[in-house]
Amino acid sequence: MALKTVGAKRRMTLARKDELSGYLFIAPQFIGLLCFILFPVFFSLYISFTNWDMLSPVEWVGLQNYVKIFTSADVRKVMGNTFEYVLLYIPGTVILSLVLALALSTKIKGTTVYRTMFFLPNITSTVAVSLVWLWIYNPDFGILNMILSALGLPTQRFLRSLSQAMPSVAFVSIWQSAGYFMVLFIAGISGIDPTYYEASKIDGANWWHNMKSITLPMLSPTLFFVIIIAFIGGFQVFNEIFMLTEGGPANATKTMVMHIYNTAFKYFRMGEASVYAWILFIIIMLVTLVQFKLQKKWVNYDA
Amino acid sequence: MHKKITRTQLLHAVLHLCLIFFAFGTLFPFLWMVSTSLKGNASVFEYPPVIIPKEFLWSNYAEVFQKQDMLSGLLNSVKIASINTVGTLFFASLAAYAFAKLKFRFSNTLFMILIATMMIPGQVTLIPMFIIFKNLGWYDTHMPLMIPSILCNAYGVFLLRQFFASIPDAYSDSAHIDGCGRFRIYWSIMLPLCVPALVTLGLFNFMANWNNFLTPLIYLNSYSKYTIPLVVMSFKNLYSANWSLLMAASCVALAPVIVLYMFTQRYFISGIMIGGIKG
Repeated sequence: MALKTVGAKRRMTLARKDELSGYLFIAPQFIGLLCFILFPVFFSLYISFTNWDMLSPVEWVGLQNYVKIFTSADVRKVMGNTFEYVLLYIPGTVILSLVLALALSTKIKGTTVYRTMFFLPNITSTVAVSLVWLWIYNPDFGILNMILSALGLPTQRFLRSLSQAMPSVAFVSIWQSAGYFMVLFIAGISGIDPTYYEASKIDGANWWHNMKSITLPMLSPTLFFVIIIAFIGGFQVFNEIFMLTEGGPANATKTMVMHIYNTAFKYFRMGEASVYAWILFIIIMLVTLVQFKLQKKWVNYDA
Repeated sequence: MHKKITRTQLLHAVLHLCLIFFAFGTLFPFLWMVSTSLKGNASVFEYPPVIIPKEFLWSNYAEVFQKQDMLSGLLNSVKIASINTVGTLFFASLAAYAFAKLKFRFSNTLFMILIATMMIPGQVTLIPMFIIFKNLGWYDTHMPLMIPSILCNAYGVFLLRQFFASIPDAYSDSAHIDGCGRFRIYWSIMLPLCVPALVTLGLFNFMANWNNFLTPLIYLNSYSKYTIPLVVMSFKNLYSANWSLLMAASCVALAPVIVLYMFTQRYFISGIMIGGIKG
């Protein structure tokens, strides 16, 4: 009897100790969460209703920033550019990474070496690699134009051309990110149950049949995940734009985050910049939700 | 003996050719960067271009270290990335251990809240944080690059929680009976079992901090405080036509990361395969 009470008491104190240590151990993360995410999010909403400019006293201006932005041509231009970038970037990076992953998922020799090489650009600083791309794209002395003229083709303006600037930037992003998505696809492909292929081999299916009826359907969850990640990342593109074009020529590559950066940290119109940040936030949330709804229709989760 | 080439062998040969083509395309910018960095001012603009210069001009590298604050940039980046990585690993693993192994009220709700915040894009908090840090007197210091990064890493907590959860309770039960405190169990039993996960998360964290551009761009003002990406940016602004110097600066900025990657690439690949970490 006495022993039993001691045991119960010991268990209770242990549970209470657990409770205390639990809260103590997660406290730093939640202090960080409160100070650097939750409070700033609400503060950002407040700033969007003010004329905050880091100089004059802060005044509540109601919907003025919102009205200004939604009636200006700026927002359409910036959104159009961002969607143009995303529409170039997502198919490019998804197709390239999928092709590389399929090639490296065969029984070919040296897959590790290839994988290491394809992934390399992903870990490098966008700022540093942008410099070499500036050099490659250079209209006067760049190697791309040297190759074009050696082939007898007309030279191009690339980053300085209204129509080519965005594709040129997107190409750099594709080059840098394809290796990352390739690794995700390789993981997805290696997760497919080999018995499917054994069964189809007996049925005499060829490579294309396997691709169409096994690999691609079974890979759809990975494909779905990759598209979401690529969209979220692509919509927030900044480093490449800042280094390669600074939004030019004539605002042809001015995307959302580039515009937020200029508005907030060049012109110090914090209220307006916060409205743009919220537009970005809402679009990312909406697309994520829409894609989660749509996935039920076409994604196969049996893999 | 005459061997007949099989269809598979032929296919593999074609595949190798395609892969080598893509690999060359992927690596060409790096090759071109190194090549240009070793050229003199005249041979940079030479036509037709040569990939391997006739003589290697190492003086560009000497010039890079003399010109801007390249050395202080490297030191600043090493300092920030190392401290942030150690700090992140400690606080994230501590919280991850609590969520995986300790029973406390609302632990699931709190975990869900933490995970949900990962969906908030950084641009939303950028402006309010700038205002807060400026008022704290943290403008042009390294604090805004370090404190939030160390204290706030929901992804790290998420990834490490999975690892802690996969460790059987039997490991900690015996220590429990011996009267070890929860922190002792975390520190001397659980943490050593998680080393592979910690290395993976640490490497990604180090790279992310090393390559981070937007935060230092808005907070740092004096050259002596610049991190590597800002030093590279300032080179672009100051020596815009001196391509060999710019390429040498890029090489210096990239070399530490590429060397680290060469020795640890399997951690990167396995990290992505396990948790889809964004590089």
